[in-house]
Amino acid sequence: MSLLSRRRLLQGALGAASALPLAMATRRMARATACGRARRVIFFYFPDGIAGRSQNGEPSLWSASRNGAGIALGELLAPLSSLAGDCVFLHGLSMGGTDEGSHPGGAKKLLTGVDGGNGESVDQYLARTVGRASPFRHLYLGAMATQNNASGDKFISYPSAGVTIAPEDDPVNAFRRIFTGARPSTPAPSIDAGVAGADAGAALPAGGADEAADGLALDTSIADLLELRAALGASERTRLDVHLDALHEVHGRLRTMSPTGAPSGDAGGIITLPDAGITVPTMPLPASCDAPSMGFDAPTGAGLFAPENFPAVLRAQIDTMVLAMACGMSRVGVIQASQHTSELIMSRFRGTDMYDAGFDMRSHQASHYGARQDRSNRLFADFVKQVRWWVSQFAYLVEQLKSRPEGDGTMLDHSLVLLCSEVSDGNTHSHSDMPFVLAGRGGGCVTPGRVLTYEGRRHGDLLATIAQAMGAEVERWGDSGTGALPGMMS
Amino acid sequence: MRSSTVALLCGLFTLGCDTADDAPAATPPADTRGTGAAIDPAQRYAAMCASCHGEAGEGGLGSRLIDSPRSVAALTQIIDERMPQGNPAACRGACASSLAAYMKTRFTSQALSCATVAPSMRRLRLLTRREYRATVRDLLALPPAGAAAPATPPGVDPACSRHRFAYAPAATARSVHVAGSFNGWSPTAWPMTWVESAREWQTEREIADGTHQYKFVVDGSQWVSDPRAAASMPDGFGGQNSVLTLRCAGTAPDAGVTPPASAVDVVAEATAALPVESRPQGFAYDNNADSALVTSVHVNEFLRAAQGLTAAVGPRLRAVVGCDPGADRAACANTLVRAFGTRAFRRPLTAAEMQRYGALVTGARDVEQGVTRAVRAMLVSPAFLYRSEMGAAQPDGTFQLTPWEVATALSYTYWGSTPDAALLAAAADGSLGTAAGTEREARRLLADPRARDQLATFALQWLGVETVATTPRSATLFPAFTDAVRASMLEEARRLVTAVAFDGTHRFDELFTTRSTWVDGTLAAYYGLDGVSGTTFQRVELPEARQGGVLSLGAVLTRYAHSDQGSPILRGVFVRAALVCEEFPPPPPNAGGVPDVDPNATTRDRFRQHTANAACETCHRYIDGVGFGFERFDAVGRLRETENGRPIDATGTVLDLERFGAGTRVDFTSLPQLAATLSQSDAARACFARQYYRFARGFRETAEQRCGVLDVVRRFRESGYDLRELMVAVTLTRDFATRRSP
Repeated sequence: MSLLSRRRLLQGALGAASALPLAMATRRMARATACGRARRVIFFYFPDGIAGRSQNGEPSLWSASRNGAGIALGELLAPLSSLAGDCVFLHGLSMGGTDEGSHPGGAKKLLTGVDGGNGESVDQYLARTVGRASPFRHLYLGAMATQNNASGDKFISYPSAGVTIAPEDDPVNAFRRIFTGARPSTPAPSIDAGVAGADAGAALPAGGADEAADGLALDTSIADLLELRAALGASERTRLDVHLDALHEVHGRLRTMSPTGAPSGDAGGIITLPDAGITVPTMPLPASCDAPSMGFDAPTGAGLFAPENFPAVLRAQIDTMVLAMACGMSRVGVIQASQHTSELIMSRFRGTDMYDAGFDMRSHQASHYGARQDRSNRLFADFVKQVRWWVSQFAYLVEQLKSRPEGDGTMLDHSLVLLCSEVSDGNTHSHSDMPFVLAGRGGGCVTPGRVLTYEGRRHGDLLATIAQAMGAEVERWGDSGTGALPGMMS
Repeated sequence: MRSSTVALLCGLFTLGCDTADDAPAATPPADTRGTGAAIDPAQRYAAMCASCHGEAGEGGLGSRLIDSPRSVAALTQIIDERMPQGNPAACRGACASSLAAYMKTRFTSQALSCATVAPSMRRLRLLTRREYRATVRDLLALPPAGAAAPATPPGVDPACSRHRFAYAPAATARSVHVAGSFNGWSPTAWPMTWVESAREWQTEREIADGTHQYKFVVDGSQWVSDPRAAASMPDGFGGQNSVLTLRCAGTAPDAGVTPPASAVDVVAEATAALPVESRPQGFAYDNNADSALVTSVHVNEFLRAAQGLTAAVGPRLRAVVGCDPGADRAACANTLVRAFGTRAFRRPLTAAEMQRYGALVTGARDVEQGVTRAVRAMLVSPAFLYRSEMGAAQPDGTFQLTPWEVATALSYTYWGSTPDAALLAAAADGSLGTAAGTEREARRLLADPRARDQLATFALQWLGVETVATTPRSATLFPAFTDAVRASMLEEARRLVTAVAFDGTHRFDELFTTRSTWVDGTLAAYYGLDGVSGTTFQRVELPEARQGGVLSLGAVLTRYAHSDQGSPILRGVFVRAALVCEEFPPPPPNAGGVPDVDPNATTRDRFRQHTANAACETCHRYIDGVGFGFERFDAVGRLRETENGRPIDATGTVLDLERFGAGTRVDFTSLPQLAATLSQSDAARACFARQYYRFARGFRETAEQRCGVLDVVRRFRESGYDLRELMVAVTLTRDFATRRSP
């Protein structure tokens, strides 16, 4: 596959898309922030929170503290030990309200910052603003996140108020879609064929795939949709705007897949984002992007939902996300591991300390470990192992980013990666002192290797900080947010 | 944690204490960023409040809200600080005030009178994956799901085979058509002609090489197999499809050996990566209109599907869109936008659309390329992907569904697919503009085999059992629970419900009181029933312990269980939520999960703590007493006499079945008794109607639809709870064809 070697982020190639109104939300715009150098953000979600403070008041096993020149990590965070210098460990942030609530309540608020999920989520906002020039504005990959016909509140990405989308749970589908665009197996389309009009076919060679067909289909779809929207007035406006945005995104993608090769000015080149007037430095793509191969053997079909396969599926999704980001496919990613109130039987993960052939321990079951925080309480002992495993998966993601050179450093230097869950203490559904870890330097916006405590601040302030680091002109995010966290950004 | 437990307690019993006078002033609403008011307060009320306060504020466990003397400000304060019970953070600020305003304006005695019926919102309903697949099968004459695809070897003229169909009915027929995989199973596309000399109906057709299934359609509604067919196979409805294998002369690879039909389902393959639907909490069906967004992933996959589907149709596409073999680009463009276009968009194309799609044909290299381009473009158009329920503006400010939209609503309600030629004809000639015309078409569609399949889909989603195909179960504990058993359990559920509705008494109570079920050899062996073998499903009488209709379906028993043990809680909630339409708040934090598996205790013993614990008891008194009735079944639907060596106790109690707070109590000693109780329950009957209404309409009804739902329930009751009449009723209600704008 040589498609990728021809894929370039052409300046102005998304002109059609730039004409789109940002219709879904009017946001309070602030002055351009000082930073904005983060090249990408990945939100890594795991279900059902962590083990919190014990009933006797002993501190949570989820702890990080300064220890001389280093950072001492509690048992739950220990898998990040070798990466502590790459992470900011956050304490004290609250999801707000009375800190009461539930799993769905937390999942709805996690990325929207708004009670009831009644707002756009920050990943979606970033995707359609600072991320809109990427071939894929948004990547949402899951591992058993849609299991059991999951209801919409199990998902954490909200393109518009109150409405979620489901992640792609199949790594093979995800890989295919990202690395071959809209076409499963056909060669790259002509850059002109998709938009030059109905007579473009005359220029095509006889036989073989009709490379113009997708572009023509998108043209007619956009025309049909604009007529429909005009006829409907206020009805279904949001739905049609999201749809139109999606058509433009794919249309732009087809046009940037130039078979003639792009100017070689990529190194140090600049992408201009027409809407926001923000500039982001680009980097040459790694050689591996010329012929990306699926470096995993992932299950498909019903096997996607067998708990035994979960670790392999999640690993494949992490690998795909990292490769996609490395190849400049997207700036905004979400990885959702399982779903809140998870039925995932983690005791079936072979080769882990959770494995128990004789007993099915479900994630959510373990999270309600009760009052006894001692290892003779099987629920507690297993929950500790589970949370450690989630942290180790996040650590793997961070390691992958750290292992890939990019520009004057590594991918991690240019990235922000947030570890998050929908509740703090899974046993009590607490929404205070949320267990967030932010990894990466974000292009120098963030200085890692620190433990920062923000008592009394909302988690929306963290989301605002991340958004600003990504170059978004966002002053505040979510209910009762007060602005970016002081001391976070360099 | 303690506070929310207490709040829950208070909520269920002392709602009247919410005087709000002693509470501090509410915090002003937070900045909710842009779209904070986008969630309809009616939907919020239905989701968060209706279970206690009644769907239209008539009260129940919670206080009555109709004609409330409290001011909007006072209601706002109560909601902001205390509601919903146990989780007041879920609705504060703007949410609370919009809900309060909604209650004050909507929950009035006048609105309750149903003198006027509030129309639902104008909507675009995105095709679900299921609907998309059925639609392209019909539209492009691709084989139905599960049927063998025509296996055309490369290089063989696909249309070299002619075949004459002939049928001699026993009784006089007015019309006979042949319908099969070759013509999209259209009951009207291929009429047969009465040939007096042969005393039979005949037609001769060109059919692609390969294996096809078909039936004859007599008088437009009776589907019969061909007595002269050389082969047949199950049609999925308990009957047989006739099988026709055609092979052009000289191309048979081995004389006398019929090559196996292609196992590849091209539609399933082309659409395998379409994103899953997002179902709102508490909405059991895959077709919720408001949560269906087209993202770039959808666009990607719609493009890919369109390409794969047109490629699978291949050279046949020209004929599928209606173009004559000799037609040039201009002639074919003209035909395509009128004939195929009307089928694809379920209405005639506008002039602008004709221009656009026609140009794709005339501007192409040749007819083949042009037709393919136009079809691919139509398959990704919003006009195809959304079922329009926007209606046409009326003088009174409402919107009335057009006849085309009515036709579309009927076919997707009853068939889960696109209208057939007869339905489009009824839209075109205006007969769908009348209630009688609509009812006539509704009944015609319900008489078609496709209606059975669609009702089976409803049944699986209503019962929530689709996931039985993949939900994990312990292989150590349950080695006999194979994939084949899972698949057969789902078929059992489909058969039981459709057999009651279409072949049995047609009545609701039979869903619970039937003494039989449907099994194949796999399931019979698994259940320990004698006399059934092979892959054909048969109706069998059940021993009393296994009776209970839908309650004792293997799929239901398995779905409402954990991987290693049955769950009286999940089963009890299933009955109260899916079958009686009641809702409970989520369990409070720190409530504990399933208690540790104690090898010496029964499941029932381990869950007794719910009723021993006052905080749990407020809800679990309604749940556990019902769920215990299922105790004779394990986590994978098998009967058991003992658990851990102790005898099973499957007695139980249903409290307040008809209405929370009514104080009624029904004791039962077995699952069939619980089923019999539900079969006569007005709450369960009304709930079933409500569930079917949700499935048909694609949204969760709010108080605004209360009168429409009541109308359906009334028709259901007046029919003696006839399931077919319920199905008809949802398209006869006063709110069926009227819409409003936001």
